[in-house]
Amino acid sequence: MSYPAFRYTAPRTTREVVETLRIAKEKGIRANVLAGGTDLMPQLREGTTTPEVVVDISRIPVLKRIERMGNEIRIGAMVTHAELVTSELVREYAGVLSEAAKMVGSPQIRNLGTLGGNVVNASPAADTIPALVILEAKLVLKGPEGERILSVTDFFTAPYQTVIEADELLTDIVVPLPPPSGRAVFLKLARRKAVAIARMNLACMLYYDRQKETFEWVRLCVGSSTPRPVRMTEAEKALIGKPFSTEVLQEAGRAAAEQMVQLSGLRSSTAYKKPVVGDLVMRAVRMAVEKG
Amino acid sequence: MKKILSFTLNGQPYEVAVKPKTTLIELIRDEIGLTGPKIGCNAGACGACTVLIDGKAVDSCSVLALQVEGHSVETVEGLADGDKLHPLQEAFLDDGGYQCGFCTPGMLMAAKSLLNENPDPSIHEIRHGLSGNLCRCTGYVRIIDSIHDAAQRMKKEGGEKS
Ligand code: FES
Ligand code: FES
Repeated sequence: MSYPAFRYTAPRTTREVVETLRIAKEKGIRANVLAGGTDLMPQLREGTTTPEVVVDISRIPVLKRIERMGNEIRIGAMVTHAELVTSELVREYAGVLSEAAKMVGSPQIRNLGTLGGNVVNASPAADTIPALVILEAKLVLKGPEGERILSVTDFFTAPYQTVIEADELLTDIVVPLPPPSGRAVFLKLARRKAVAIARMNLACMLYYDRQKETFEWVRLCVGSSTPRPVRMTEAEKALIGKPFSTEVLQEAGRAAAEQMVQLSGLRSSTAYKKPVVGDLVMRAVRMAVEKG
Repeated sequence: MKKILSFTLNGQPYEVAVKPKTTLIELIRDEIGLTGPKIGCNAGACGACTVLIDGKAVDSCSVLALQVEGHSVETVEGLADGDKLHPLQEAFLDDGGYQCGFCTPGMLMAAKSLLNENPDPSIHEIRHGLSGNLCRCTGYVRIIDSIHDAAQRMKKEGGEKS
C-alpha cells in the first residue's frame, strides 16, 4: 500500500487514549482515532488523512456497552451499526436510531462502522445523525481536563467539521428516552439503494392526539440538505396544534423546503432538493400518524 | 515498526509480525498466502475481500491487520471441511452461482455470515444480505438461488443429525 507509515497504539482505557492524544497535540504530532475504520481507511488510502499515530479504540470494553441508566440509554462510541439494529434496548426506546442504522452501507460496513465514528466523521450524509437529532441525544467528550457533555446539534459546525478538540475522545452517545406516545419514521433517498450514502434522509417523531385531532409535538430533521444538521422547526410549527389534513401536510412540506433553502442558500441541487424535501416531510408525517 | 499480532485464521492460531499500515486483506493474501479473498475496489464498496471476523462479514480491505488481535478470522479457505465442501459451495456449484468466480469467495462469506444470523432467510433477506457484494457476471439471480438452496440443504442436514 502506498500510503505513508504510522505508529499504531491500542490503549485499554479511555484515559490512556486521551493521554496519548494530549501528548500528540502538545508535540504537534498528527494523531487519528481509529474506530471501525470505514471512514478512516479510505482517507488513509487516498492520502487525505496522513496520521503519524493511529489510536485504535476497539479494545476498550466500556466503549461497546449499550445500557439503560434511569431515563437515558447510554451507547458507547464503539457500538456498531449492526449492534444498533439488533439491540433490544435501542429498538424499544430509540427505534428510529435502529431504523437509521439499518440504512447504513452494506452488512460488511454495518459490522465494522460505529456510531461514534459516524458522529465524529460528521458526514452530512450520515444516516444516524438525523435520528440522533430528533432523539435530542447528547454526546460525552472526554478530554485531559475531564468530561463535557454537548447536545448533538451543538457538535457539528459544517460538513465534516465538529467542535471536538484534538485531545478529546467521544466516549458515549446518550439518548434520553423519548415520550412513549411518540411514533417515529426514518426515510432515505439514495441512488443505489443499499450501499449509496444518503442523498437525502429524514427522521421524524411525533405524537398525534386522535381525540383532540391535533399534532401535540413533532420533531423533524432532514439530513444532507443543510450545512449542519438542524431541526426543521418551521415545519414542526406548521403542524403543532393542527389537524391531520392534506392542507396542513402541504404547509409543513412547504415550510421545510423553505427552511432548507434559507439554511443552505440556493445551490445547483436546490431545484431538485426543494420539492423532494417537502415531499419527504409529508410522507414521513403521514407514515408516523398512520403508525397509530 | 512491526508489531506482533496474534489471531486465529480458519481455526489455526497465528502469530505474525505486521506493519501498522498493513490491511487485513494484504496480510491474508500477501503474507500468509491465502488468495481466496480478492481485492476489487480496495475501498469497502465491492465485497470481493469479504471475510468473517468472529462470524460476521466485514470488508477486509477496510480493516487494519492489527485490529484483529485476539479475534477469529475465517476466509473461504476455511469453509470446506477437509475434502467435504460446505453446503454453500455445493449449492453454488450445482446451481451455477458463479461465472468467472472473482466475486465468489466474497459472496460465499457474506452468505455464511447471513446464515449464521438467519438460517432460513427469505429471498428478500438474501438480497439484503448481499447488498455489499458486486458481481460483474451473473446478474445475481443464480447467486441468490444458490444461497437459498444451501439454506434448505443445511436445514435438511441439521434435521438428519438430530
Ligand atoms: S476490495 Fe474490499 S470491498 Fe472491494
Ligand atoms: S462471477 Fe464474475 S464477478 Fe461474479
